[in-house]
Amino acid sequence: MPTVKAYAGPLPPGVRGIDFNTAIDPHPNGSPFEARWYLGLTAGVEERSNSSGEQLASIAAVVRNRQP
Amino acid sequence: MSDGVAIRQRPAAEPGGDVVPQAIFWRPIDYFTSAVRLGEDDLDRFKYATYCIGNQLTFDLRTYAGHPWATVTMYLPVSVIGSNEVGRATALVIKGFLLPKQAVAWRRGDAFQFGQLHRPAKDRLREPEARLLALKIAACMAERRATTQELIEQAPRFFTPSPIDLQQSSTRPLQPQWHQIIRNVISHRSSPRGPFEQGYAERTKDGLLVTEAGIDYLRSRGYVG
Repeated sequence: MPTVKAYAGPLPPGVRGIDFNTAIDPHPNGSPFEARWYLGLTAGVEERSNSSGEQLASIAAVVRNRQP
Repeated sequence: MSDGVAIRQRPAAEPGGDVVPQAIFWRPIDYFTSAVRLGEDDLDRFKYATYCIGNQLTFDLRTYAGHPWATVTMYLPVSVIGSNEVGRATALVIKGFLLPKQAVAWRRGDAFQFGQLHRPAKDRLREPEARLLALKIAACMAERRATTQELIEQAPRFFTPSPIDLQQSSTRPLQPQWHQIIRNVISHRSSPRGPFEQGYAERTKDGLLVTEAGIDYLRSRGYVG
């Protein structure tokens, strides 16, 4: 199932990754450590596809790239 | 060291595909398995072990690279979402691993805030858990044998002492309390529920030796495959 998965909370100092904020509520089956947005199950999740035609889940977010 | 639900580790199994976190425990992955494996999915890299209870319940224990080291998360297949079986399955897993109540950091149904999890002040090593811990540590040593000092030296790889554990021992002021709890496992040789009386270990001059019955017991607790 195409899913956006993320750790909850800000990236710790010095850790590489993608930091983002979103107004879309995650699916309630996350945990204190993880948030998930399922395509078709979570309101606000949009369908995308990559160059291979693979179905992907996407959410609108303000992103900060912290993996130089 | 009472018997509970038998958990079997599945050493050759691949990690579950779409899985959902159902519980978090205040114990590192090495506490649960002698054979930590490495995996990777859409979220990140993770350490894991795969288990089953009976013929139907399969679950993973994982610690992702971004999770606190001293925790492990239990995952069930996504197909179980919304099922009445989730709560029962989590209870079985907790019982099967003989986890103390205070070691359960969170379970499905508990309210939570993202990024917020606080270890209970009362979580500390007690002798029943230390008995099992001593067996696990010794089972990983050469000839399944460990001295008391080796048990103490190795223990922090298997559990994280809490603030109470780190308080000064009343009998040995230079040592933390949890050292004494480990020592008690060896010195309380004739405890009816201890590893020696249960046949899971033999007393050596300065520690213990895990028997075949002890290995079988650890296998039934999912620790060895």
